[in-house]
Parts: sequence; C-alpha cells; structure tokens
Amino acid sequence: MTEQQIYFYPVWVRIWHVLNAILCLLLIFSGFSLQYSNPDFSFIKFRMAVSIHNFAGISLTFSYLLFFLGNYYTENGKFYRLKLKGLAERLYKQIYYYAYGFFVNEPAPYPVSKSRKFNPLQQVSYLVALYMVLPLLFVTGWALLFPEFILKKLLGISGIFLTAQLHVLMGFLIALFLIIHLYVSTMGKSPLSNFKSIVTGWQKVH
Amino acid sequence: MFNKIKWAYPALLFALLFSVTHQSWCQESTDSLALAQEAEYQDAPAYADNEYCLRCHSSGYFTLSDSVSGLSRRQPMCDNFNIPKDKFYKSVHRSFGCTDCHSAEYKNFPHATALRFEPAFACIDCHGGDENFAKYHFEEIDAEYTKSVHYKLENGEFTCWKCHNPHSYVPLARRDSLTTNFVVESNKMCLECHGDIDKLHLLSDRELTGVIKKHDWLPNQSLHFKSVRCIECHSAQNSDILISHNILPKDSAISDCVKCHSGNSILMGTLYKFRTIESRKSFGFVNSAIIDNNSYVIGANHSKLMNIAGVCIILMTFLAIAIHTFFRIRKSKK
Repeated sequence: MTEQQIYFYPVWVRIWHVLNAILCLLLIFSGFSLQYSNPDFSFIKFRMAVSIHNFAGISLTFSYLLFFLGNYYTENGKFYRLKLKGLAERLYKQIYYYAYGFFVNEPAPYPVSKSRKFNPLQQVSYLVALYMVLPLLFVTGWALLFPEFILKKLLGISGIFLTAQLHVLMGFLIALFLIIHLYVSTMGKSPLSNFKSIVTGWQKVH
Repeated sequence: MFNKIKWAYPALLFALLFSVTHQSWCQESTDSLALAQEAEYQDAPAYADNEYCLRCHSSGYFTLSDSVSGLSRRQPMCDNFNIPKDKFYKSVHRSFGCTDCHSAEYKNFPHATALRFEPAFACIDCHGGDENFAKYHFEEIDAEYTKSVHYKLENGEFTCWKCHNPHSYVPLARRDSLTTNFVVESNKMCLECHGDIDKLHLLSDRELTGVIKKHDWLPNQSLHFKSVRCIECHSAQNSDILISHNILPKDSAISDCVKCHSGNSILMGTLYKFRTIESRKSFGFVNSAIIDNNSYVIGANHSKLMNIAGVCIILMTFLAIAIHTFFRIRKSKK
C-alpha cells in the first residue's frame, strides 16, 4: 500500500490551532482552579487565576473569530459540513470501530482522504464543540464581564447564577472535548504522527 | 396679539373659579373623612372613657388652670405623651381603655408625680403563657431579648416599649406583603434612638455614633438602608421566631458581604454586578477584567453539585481512556 501525504493544515489553521490549544489549556487550568478554590488551598493563586482566565478568555474570542472567518472564506470550512442523512448509522460504525474493530484490525470505516479530513464522530464532536459549546462559553463569559446586561431573575433564580452555571458546564464540556481530542490524536499511524501533522501541515494517509 | 389677550380673560376667570371650587371641595372632603374616621373609632369598646384622656393626649396641647388665680393657659403637649387617635385605634391594642394599663389615678389632673414611676407592663406580662398568643412565641422573644445588648447595657431600664410603641403597634412583619415600607418602619424603631441624641439620652449618657459615618464602608449605602433592616446584620438570627430580638454588640455585627450575597441568591447577583461595574469604572475595562476582577471572590459560580458533577465526568473520561489504552497495549503485544 503506497503512502500518500495530504496538506490538510494550512498555515492559518496551524496558527489558530496552536493559539486555541494554549488559550484553552490556560482557561481549563485557571477555570478548574477558580471553581475548586477555597480560602485554604488554591491550585493557582486566586488573583492570578482570575487574571489568567479573563485574559485567555478575551484572547480566545478573537482567536475564534480567526477560525470562524477562515472557515467561512477558505476550503477548510467544507470539512465541517455535516450530512444529516444516514448520520446515525455512520456514527454507529465509527463508535463500533473505536470500541471493537480497531482492536481486531478491521479497516477504518471512514479513512482520511482529500475530501474527508474528519470521520463522522470527529465531525459531530468538532461541530458541537466549535459551533455550539465555544460560542455559548463566549456569550456567558462576556456576559459575566458585563453583568449589567444579564437578566436579574429567570424562573425565580438569579440570572447571574444561571449564567455562571452555564459557563461552568460549557467549560467542563470543552475540557472533556480536549481530553478526548488529545487521546484520539494518539490513534494515528503512530501515537505521535497526528501531532507531527499539525506542526508540519502534512498528514500521512494510506 | 389682540386675539390672544381676548382669550386670556375667560381662561383666567375659569382658573380662578376652578381654584375656589376645588379648595372648598377639598376642605369638605377632608372634614367628612375626619368625621368618618371618628365614627369608626366610636366602635372601640373604651372609646368614651378614652376620650377623657385623649382630648389632651391626642390634641397636641392641654389646658392648665390655676385654682388660686383662676387663670387658664394652653400648653403644648410633649410628643412623647401625644397619642394620635388614628394610630391608636388602628393598633393591636385599640380595644383597650387607657386605665386598663395605666393607673385610674391618672383621671386626676394635674397628674401626681409618683404616677410617672408606675412600672410599665412588658409584653410578656399579658401575652406570656397564653395559648391565644402561642403562635407569636412571646416566651422565646423574651428569652432572646434578655440576651441582647439592649437588656445588658441598660440594666433593665430598657423595656419593650422603647422600640414597640404600645399605643400604635401594628405587626408589620405578619402582613401579607413585605414592602420597602416594612423595612423603613423597622429601621425607624432603631433610628428613633440611634439617630436622635435627645431620645438616646433618655436611656444613656453615650454620644451618637453617626449611623451614616459608621456605615461608610457599605457599598450602595442608601440602597441598603432602604432595603435591609438594621436587625439583619445587628442581631443573632433565631429560626423559631419571626423577628430576632437578640441585638448583638456592635463588634459582632455582620460586615461580611458574602453572608447575604452568596450562593443561589439574587443578592449574590446584585453584589457581583455592583463590584464588576464599580471596578470597571475605577480601573477601566482592561485593568478591571484582566488584572483586578474582585467580583470572582464572592463565588459567582459556586455550586457543590456542579463541583461534584465536574469531577465525576472528568474521572469517568479518564477511566474510559485508561481501559481503551489497556486494550491498545494488549493488541500491540500480540
């Protein structure tokens, strides 16, 4: 079987990806520290965690704009277009592969090709993370920076409290996404091959 | 120009007529209201007897006569002894006669000085041990009150009546709607002495501490004074009684914002909002958001449920990854 290389990650994607990775890690670590801090112990000093979280959150918003506009104006956006027809079946096949087929050397049901950068499970999880969870994090995060615009009360509960809870919940989901994303990245040709690809821009395919 | 002047006369005449008619109508309606109220008071069981006292004690003046010279002179009634009828007949004690609580010798005028020293009833004297009043928990209130700084500092000189005027008392806290008025009325009780040096000196030689100056650390001071009762911070809460009566020494008063503005409360939200906006005003958006956002300190998103759920989700993910990795390693060894 001949080995082929596809240029999947243009420079702007790689710049955005590295920015996104650094800022998300800063946000997750400072966010965890803030969420679980108490007067006796904090993972990162409280004031420091607040500053890091706010700085990284604001920066991530602008970095997200780069991703959003890049996807809108370049070819990269086509990889995120989801076909709903037969989606459940495709998702099942991919989950089955990760859970069983992978271990018995079955071929990947949706291998990477020039027209398919993500398998169906990746496509759905990236769409949810990047087009639903992240925007919700931005909206709630910015709302907490400008709390005068938050509803005073919703269903008898403080609007700020609800906004903060939604922000934390979305933060947990992004943390979850990152952990799974990093793990799945080790399932390439070799455990490090996908990490090399996002640095060089080229991905090896069979 | 001429046309304008021509219209001015009838308009002026109409305004004059309306003003006179309106004034006389208002006077009539005020009189009839007073009469209607007086008729309402007459239903009170002791109305006739009370009139003897209230003709002086609700009019703002009394007539002093000298039997030797035969001269009479009107004197102003001291505010402390003035009992407005509208307040008395709307109070919880409206059915009482004056001599039910005060000596019958008060019927003699001028009143003897010794009468001024008659012991006043405390609430517990009438309401204690009475099943009809059990729901008000007078015994618990009395027990709490004896722990309070008022009772201790004034060596028993302090009585229920220093805060609760028996001639006008209405149980505001038990009304259906607790409005800002309730807060204002509640705080008025405290400020009658703590904001009035003359009244304070009736009990103590201490000087006024200046309520506003003492509370200058409090953000949005006027809003707090309008919306929060003094006793919220200055008394020990007791869940058995509706209103705490254990007033604490000043050093024990609550000055920690988080006590009220915490957890899932609207108050928490308002404090978060206040601190964020104030910080932005003082330091600008970049400095306040990035460098010194104190709003976080109050724990805007603290929820134990979310804390536990977050840890569980992350741990389960790591567990799933560990299992997957285990099978991957096993596969690579085959």
